[in-house]
Amino acid sequence: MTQPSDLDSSQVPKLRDHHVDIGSAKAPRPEKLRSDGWRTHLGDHILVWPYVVFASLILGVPFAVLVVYSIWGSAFFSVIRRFTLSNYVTVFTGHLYTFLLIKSLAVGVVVTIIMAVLGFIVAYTITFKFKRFGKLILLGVALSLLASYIVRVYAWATILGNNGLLNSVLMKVGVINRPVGFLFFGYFAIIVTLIYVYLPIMVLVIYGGLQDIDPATLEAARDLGASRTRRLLGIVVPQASNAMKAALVFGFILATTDYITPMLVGGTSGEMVGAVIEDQFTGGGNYPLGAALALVTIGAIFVVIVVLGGIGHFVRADRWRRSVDELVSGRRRRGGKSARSLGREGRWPLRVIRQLPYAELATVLILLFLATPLVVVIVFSFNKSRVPSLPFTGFTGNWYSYIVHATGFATSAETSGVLVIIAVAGSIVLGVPISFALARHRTRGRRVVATAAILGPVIVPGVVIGVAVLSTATLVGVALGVQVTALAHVLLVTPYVIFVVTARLSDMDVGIEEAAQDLGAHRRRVFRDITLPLIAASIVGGALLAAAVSMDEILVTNFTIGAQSTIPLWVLGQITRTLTPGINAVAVIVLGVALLIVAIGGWLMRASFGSRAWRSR
Amino acid sequence: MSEPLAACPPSGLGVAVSRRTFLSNTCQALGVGALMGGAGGLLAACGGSTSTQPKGNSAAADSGVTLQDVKNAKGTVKVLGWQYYQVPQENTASVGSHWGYLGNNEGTITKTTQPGAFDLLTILAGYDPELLAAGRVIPTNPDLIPNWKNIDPVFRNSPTLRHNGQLYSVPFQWGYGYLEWDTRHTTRPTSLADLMSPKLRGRVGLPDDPYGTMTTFAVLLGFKTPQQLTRSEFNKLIATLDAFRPQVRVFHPYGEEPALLAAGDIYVDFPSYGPSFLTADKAGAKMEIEYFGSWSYVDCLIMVRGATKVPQALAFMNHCLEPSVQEAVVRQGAAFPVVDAAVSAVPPQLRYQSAAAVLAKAPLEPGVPVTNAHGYVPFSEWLTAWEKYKAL
Repeated sequence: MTQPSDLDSSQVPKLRDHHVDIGSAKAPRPEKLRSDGWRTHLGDHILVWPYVVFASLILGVPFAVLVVYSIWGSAFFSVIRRFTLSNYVTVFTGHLYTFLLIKSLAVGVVVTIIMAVLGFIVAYTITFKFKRFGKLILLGVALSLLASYIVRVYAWATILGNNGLLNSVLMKVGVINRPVGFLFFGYFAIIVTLIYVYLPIMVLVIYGGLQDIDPATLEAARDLGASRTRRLLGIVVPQASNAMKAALVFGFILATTDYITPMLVGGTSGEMVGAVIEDQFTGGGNYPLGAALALVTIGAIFVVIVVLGGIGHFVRADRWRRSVDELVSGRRRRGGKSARSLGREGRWPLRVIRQLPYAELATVLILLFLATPLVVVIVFSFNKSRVPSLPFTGFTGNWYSYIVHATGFATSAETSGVLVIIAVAGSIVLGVPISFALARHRTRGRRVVATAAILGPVIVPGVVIGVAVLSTATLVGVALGVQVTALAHVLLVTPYVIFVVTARLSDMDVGIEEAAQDLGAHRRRVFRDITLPLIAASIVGGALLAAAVSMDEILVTNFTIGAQSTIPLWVLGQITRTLTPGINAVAVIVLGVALLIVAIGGWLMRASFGSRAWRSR
Repeated sequence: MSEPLAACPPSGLGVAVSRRTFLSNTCQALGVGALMGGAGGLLAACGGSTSTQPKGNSAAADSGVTLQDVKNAKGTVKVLGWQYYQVPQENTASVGSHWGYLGNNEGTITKTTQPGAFDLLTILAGYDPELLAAGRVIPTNPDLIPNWKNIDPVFRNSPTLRHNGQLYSVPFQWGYGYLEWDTRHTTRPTSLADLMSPKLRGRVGLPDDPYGTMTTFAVLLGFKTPQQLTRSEFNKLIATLDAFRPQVRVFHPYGEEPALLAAGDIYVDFPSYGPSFLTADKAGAKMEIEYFGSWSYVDCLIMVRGATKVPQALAFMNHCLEPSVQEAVVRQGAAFPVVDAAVSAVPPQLRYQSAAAVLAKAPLEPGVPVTNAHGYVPFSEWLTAWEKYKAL
């Protein structure tokens, strides 16, 4: 009898035809749930339009004005109402702008590619390898986002700086005899830190897409002799392709448009196109040029996404899978024998090497990478020194006392809390319905409108949204403050909920819901008892992301909060005085409070979802 | 045709907007008019003006206010300012304050777009030309500020506070830039040539502040009016900056330099302000400082156009000039008091005999022009040059 291990890899494609379509499997396109004609049609509208209308009100009109601005002339903080293309000419002929645009896009592409690989490894391992602790690790990854973004970025100075932890360790073990300069204040630091900042978001989105892959399918493929790579590229990647695409697009946009992180860690290389756009809307007072630059940037991002999408389509998974598979499984002959057969025949080190848990090891390293800055933040929040980095001059808890009693901190924390609550609630109310429409109902026109409304808040530079919201509020006579800022936050964070929930819904088997309906369950009951529990984790993940984004938002809030403040603005204000370990203490306090809230929330959810009544339902 | 951007009426917080006005404005904002010429309405909301003449020299907002009104004022004023100037002592039983924070000077004009969003600003007097050109600030009558007399005459009589014969800026705190270096790594630099030394290659920090840094280099180059630069002077300044580029390790936000010095990432930083070197010293560096390309600034309290709490704002300004409040701000902040009675709060290493003596070495600068009307390079060009300098 043929044992699975005796299968020659050339036999696998034949088996594939009879079992799982390993080679060409694509994510199962969710079939449209049974249509009730006009009711479904109406339902589609109800799902899509609330968010689209909301996004259009808050973003669409200012965006239209941005377009108008870009073709008008400019003077100091004013516009000249005369058609001109001079702003675009300046953008395309000014070496400064094209250089910064290309630089930002290049950094975005590099960071996204690395993040996609790392993010996939972590999401895959958490889902299929760390089954028991996977969700806990994921929660940890998501919660780490809640510790102030600026503070976590600053922690990299302590790690990569001239006398930082890494240099110190390398010098101690004798690898180097003097500090390596390129680690900090340069492209290395920019790329490392951007990956660090946005990797958790990639992980969360990809993780959502992996949830509906049946581990039994992978086991079956393994039993049939499919190699590790073949299982990965033939089953997992195609089925998670929707989530992967979403994560890639999202990650690319975020990495390309971020200019705060590069500014903080990039030294003389830290200038990005976003910073120049901001300059035009603030000190430069040249709104038309800023508008043209913003629109060109948005256009360039779209072009890159389309080009990369085209390349991805051309290089289909089943083509490169084979070459990668051959490479990894060793079909390429070495002296007439494949590496695989060599390994099988006995050379034990090779066998051991082949059986090493690479994904698990890589994931542990990536998680260490994500955790290290947080550990640094916590440790250095107790540093007696006046600066939040090395050297560690002694232990003290005084920075916590200083922060709690500092002028403005309590009110800033209160404002941040209110904004986070409104942003999360609003994003779920608006985001979950549109996710259903996007995942389940594929009407092209509505999809395009919805996609534009979703990508808009992410792709339009924050400073542009901030200035636009400020101007609109002024025009309609609405006072700046928490209300206006809360609306802006809902707009900014809803795409995160939509991305995570849509990724989950797209890869979810609608057959379960249809079966329940076939068995007589009402739509509402199907939603309550089947759909909601299945997507609950994604909604929680999206909500955590939304909370993290709202908690860290600076660019828009800076212009809309009026005579109030939020924690990140307060932290920035502190930094302009002196960077102290107090900012680390702020991050730890925020993280502690978030952990407490999540723990209480988890306990309440367990109490209600775990109840006998719920289970019996 | 130029569209003035400060055309919207005061309709901010606490100001009633009629239903008709609200609906009309909303419709415009929703785009009914946006692309059909109505866009001007929304654009107008962004504030500003092409005019270089001060727009705020019409009747001051405090013209109908009496000293008695100021004394009896009750309420809360909205302040847009540097966080380090916010101390509890500024608030009294009758007049409190809500603060929004500045991240840099450049964002001020945009942030004050909505009339009524703020009553007061804390910003350096040198930024007055921009604020005036954008129509963001209005004059203040010093007679309504009894503590005006507490201010050191060297600031009180400074021409940088007045424009077209009217007082706009009420001095609050002042400071000067200096060069600081870590003696663990380098010796005292005494000239620009010393700073260009190969030993300092990639070891100098500059603040990411075109106003401060470019002015400092202009002083170093010996220009008579470091902020009113002719084209040739400006070109020479840019050439010097370009030559200096290899020495620069980082363009940092203010406040970050003590950590960079203590960690050994940079050895020299300028212009630095306030207790920067003391903080670096306490964190492990061995710092020394020098008047080097020094010039002074005075941060002021300025009334914002559209302020809704004028008597309260005047009462707040007045209280801020009490010696006890000045001391509290000095202890927390990064600058020096404009009231001499509060000098004792200045750290001993920075304490001075008289502000006038310091100003003789580091003169007060009036600010960079908004336009090139007088043949000087305007601030917008400074900003573009700085962007290029950082990026290329």
